[in-house]
Amino acid sequence: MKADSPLLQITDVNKAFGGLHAVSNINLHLNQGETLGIIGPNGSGKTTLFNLITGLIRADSGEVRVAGEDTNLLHMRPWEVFSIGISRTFQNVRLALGQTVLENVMVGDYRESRTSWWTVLVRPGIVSLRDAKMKDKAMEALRFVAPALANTPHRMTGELSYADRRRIELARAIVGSPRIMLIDEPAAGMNARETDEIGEDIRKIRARGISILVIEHKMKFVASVASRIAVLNFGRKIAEGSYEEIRTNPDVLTSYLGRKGDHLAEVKH
Amino acid sequence: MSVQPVSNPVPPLISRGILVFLAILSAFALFALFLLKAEGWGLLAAAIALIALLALPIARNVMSVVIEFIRTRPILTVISCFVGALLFPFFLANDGYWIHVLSIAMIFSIMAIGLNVHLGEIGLVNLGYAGLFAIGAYTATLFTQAGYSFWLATPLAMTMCWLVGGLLGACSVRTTGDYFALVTLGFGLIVQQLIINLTWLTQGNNGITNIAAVTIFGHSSKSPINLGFMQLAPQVNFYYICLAALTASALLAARYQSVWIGRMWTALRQDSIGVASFGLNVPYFKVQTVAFGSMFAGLAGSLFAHEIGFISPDDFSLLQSIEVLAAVILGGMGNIVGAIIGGILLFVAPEKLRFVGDYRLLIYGGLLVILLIYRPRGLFPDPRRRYEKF
Amino acid sequence: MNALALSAIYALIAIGISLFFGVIGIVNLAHGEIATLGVFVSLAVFQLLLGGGAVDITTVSFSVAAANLAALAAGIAGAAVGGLFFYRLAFYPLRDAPPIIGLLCSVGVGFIIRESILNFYPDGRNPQPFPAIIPPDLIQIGGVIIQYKHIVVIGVAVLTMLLLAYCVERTKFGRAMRSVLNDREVARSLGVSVIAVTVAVFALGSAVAGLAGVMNALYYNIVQSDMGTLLTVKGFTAAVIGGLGNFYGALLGALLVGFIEALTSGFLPSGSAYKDIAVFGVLIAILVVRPNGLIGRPISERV
Repeated sequence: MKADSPLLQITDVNKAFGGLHAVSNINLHLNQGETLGIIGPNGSGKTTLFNLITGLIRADSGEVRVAGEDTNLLHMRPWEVFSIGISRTFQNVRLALGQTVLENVMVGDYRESRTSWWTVLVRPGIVSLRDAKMKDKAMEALRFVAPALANTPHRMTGELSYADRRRIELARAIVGSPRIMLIDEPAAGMNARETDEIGEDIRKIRARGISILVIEHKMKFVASVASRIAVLNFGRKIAEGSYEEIRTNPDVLTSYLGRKGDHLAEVKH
Repeated sequence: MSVQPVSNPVPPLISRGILVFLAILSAFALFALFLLKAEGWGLLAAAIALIALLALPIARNVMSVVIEFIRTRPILTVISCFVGALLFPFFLANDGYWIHVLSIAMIFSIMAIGLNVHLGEIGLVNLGYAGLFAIGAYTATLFTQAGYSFWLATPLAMTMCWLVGGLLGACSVRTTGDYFALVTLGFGLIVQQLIINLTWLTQGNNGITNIAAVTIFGHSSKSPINLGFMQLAPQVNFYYICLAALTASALLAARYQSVWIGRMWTALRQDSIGVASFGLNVPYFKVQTVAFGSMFAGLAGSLFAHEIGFISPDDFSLLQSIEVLAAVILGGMGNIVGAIIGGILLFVAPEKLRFVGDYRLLIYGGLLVILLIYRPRGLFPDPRRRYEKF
Repeated sequence: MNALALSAIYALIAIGISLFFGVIGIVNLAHGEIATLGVFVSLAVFQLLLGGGAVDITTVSFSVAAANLAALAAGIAGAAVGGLFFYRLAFYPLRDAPPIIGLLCSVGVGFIIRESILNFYPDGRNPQPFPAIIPPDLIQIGGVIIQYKHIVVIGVAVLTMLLLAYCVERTKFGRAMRSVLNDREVARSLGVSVIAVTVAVFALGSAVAGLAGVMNALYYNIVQSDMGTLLTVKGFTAAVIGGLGNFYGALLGALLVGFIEALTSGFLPSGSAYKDIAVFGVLIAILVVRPNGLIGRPISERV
C-alpha cells in the first residue's frame, strides 16, 4: 500500500447552482484500505460531492481519478462509474419499496444476471443459471451485512424498518465487490444500539478490503470507523486529519461544532 | 367412535379443478350468448343488474373465493381460458360478424400488451401508439401488395416498428414524462399526416383496398373451414390466427416480465437513481424497452390490415391511441392479463352498445376521466405497486 | 401578414397553455377544446340574438354592433365557465396525483367537450359558418396588403398580451401568480392562497383560450367541433419553443410557429398539406433537443 499513490484522488472539484457554490475547490484523497470520514454542517456540500463523483450531477470543473484508470470520473455516467468499482448508499434511502429484500440486493450487481434480450427468448437455460448465481451472491452479501434479514429475503422492502432498509442498501453496495464504497449518513435516524451495529458493519466491510468514504454527522460514529477525517463547510474543505487533530482545530470548532467542542473529549476510539 | 367417511373416488383437488375449468368455459359460453342475443335496453338492464349483483356482499364473497383459487392455480386458469377461446366460435354459433369483432378485439388487445410495456413497465405515456400501429399496417400491406407472403410481411412490419420504437425510445431519454407525452402526440399526428399526404405510397385518404387474403398451407383465409360435420364461417380463419398471435404476445411479454428484464423494469420505476448507480445503462435500457413494446403494434397492424382487407388514415388517429391507452389503464398497469381483458372489453362494448352510436366517444371520454379519478389502478391493480405513484 | 395573424392566434393559445403549466402545473391537452367551447357558445348567442348576423359590423346600428360584441364576449365567458366547470369536475380531485394523470384526464375532458358539441349542438357534425362581422376591406401600405381582419386579430392579441403583462407585473394578483409559479411551497407559507390563484388562473387561461378561439373563428369565418386538437398541438409547440411556463417565450414561439406555417405553405409545392407536419416536427425536435425551450436553461441533471 503506497502512501503516495492514492486509490481515489479528488482534485479541485467545483460545482455551483446558480449563485450558490455547493462545492468549491475540493481536494481529497483516499488511500487503499482506509476509511475517510467526511463531516460538516448541513449544506456543506458533502452529498453533492458524492453525487458528483458518482456521476449523478455534472461538475463545473475538477478531476476525480481512480488508481489504474485513465478517465476522469466527472465525465462519466453513473453506470460507468459503477463499472470501475465504485458503489454507494444514499442519504435518503433509495430502494424499490415494492420489491423484496433479495430483489433489491440483486440490483447491486445486475451485470451478473443480465443477458441479451435475444438470449432471454432462445436460451432460457443460461438465463436461469445467471439468475441463480446472482441470487447466491446477493444472499451472501445479505448474510454478511444483515444475517437477520437473510432469513427473510422475500419480505417486501416497504414493510421494513428504516434501519433494516439501510442494511439492505449496504448489502446492495457490496454485492458487486466494489473497490470503493461511498456511504452517505449510514447512522442517520438510528438509536445508539443501531448506530453501533452499523459501525460494526462498516468495519467488517473495510476488513473485506473495500476502501470507504463515509459521510456522517455523529462525531462518535465517524471517529469509530474512520482513520482520517475531512471537514467541509460551505462547500470548502476547512480541515483534514486524524480525529484528534480535527477535534482541536479552531476553524472546525467555531464553524461546525460551536464552542461546545469539549464534549468530544469523551469519545473513545 | 368416528365414522369413516366414504372415500371419494376422485380426489377433491381434481374435482375442484374440473369445476373451475367448467366454470370458466361456461363463462365464455355465457359471454357468447350475451353478445349474440342481448339487445338494446334489455341489454342495458341486464348489465346494470349484473353490476348491482356483483356489488352485493354475497357475490363479493363468492368472487374473492374464486379469485383466490385462480391465483393459486394460474396454469389451470390459463388453460381453461385458452380452451374457452378455442371453442368460442362454436359458442357464437358460427356468427361471422361477432367472430370478426372478437378478432379485431384481440388485435386491439395485442396493442394493449405492447402499450403496457411502455406505460405499465417503464411509465412512459405514449399518446401516439396508433402511429406505430399505422406503420405496422402500412408496411405489411405494402409488402403483401408487392407479392410477399403475409408470413414474411408480418415480421418485417414488426421489425419496422421495432426500429421506429427505438427512435421514440431515444427521444424518451431526453424528455421527461409530460414532455414525452407531447412528443408521442406529435409523432402520432405526424404519422397520420404523412399517410394522408404521401399518396404515391399510401393512396392517401382513399386508403388501400383489396388487401390480399392470407394463405395457410394452401387454405385461404377468405374461404370457410370445412370440418365435415359443419362448415365454419371464413372469419374463423382469422379468429384463430389472431388468437395464436395474442397468445404468443402474452407469453412473450410474460416471459420478459419474469426474468431480469422485468425485475429491472420494476426497479427502474421505483428507484431509477439507484438502478443507474449500480450499473444499469438507463438510457440504453429504455430504448430497448420502447423498441420491444413497439413490436406488438407491428404485429397488430399487419393482422388488422389483412383481416379487414382495407386500411385508411382514419383507422390510425389520436382516437385509437387513446382507446388503447384506456384499455391499458382499465386493465391495471403492468398487468398483461388485465391489458387483454381491458382491450377486449373496451372494444366489444361499443360494438354491443351500438344503439348508443354517436355518443360512443363521449362515453369514452367520460369513462377515461372517471377511471382516472376513481380507479387509476384499474380493475386488477398489482398489489406490489402500492408504493408507486402511478 | 397572414403569418403574423396566425402567430397572434397561436400566441394567445400558447400564453394560456403556459399559464396552465407554469402556475397550475398541468399539461392541459383540452386547451383547444375549451377554445372551441367558447366559440360555439358565441355562435349560439349569435344565432339566438341575431339570427345569423353575418353582417359587417361597421355597417349596422350601434345597438346591433354592441350585440355582436356581446356575443363574442359571451363566448369568452363561456370558455371561462366551462374551464372552471371541468376544473371542479376533473382536475381538482386530481390535484395531488402525479401530473401524468392530470394530462390523461385532460385528454378525456377534451373528448367530452368535443363530442358534446358534436352531438348536442344542432348540426354539430358539420362545419359551421361564423358570422363575418369584420369588414372585408383592405388597406395597402407600401406593397403589403393588410386586411382589416389582420388588424383586428393582431390588435386584439397585442392588447390582450399587454393587459396580461400589466396584470402579471403590476397587480397584486399578478404577483401572487408569479410567486406560485416560482415556488408553490414558499408562496403558501407567505399566505398566498394557492387554491384561489389556481382557480383564478384556470378561469383566466380558459378565457384567453376562448378569446383565441373567437379570433380564429373571426379570421377563418368557419368553425367545426374538432378544430381544437390542431390548435392545442400548435399552441403547445409555440409554448414549448419558448419554454413551458415562460410567457414571453410563448410569444416568441408563436411567432416562430406562425412563420413556419406560412413558409411551408408558401414555398413548398403543395406545401399547405405539409405545414402541419412541419409544425409537429418542430415540436418533437425542440422537445428532444432543448426540452426547456430556446430561452430556458439546459437541464444539468444526468439520469
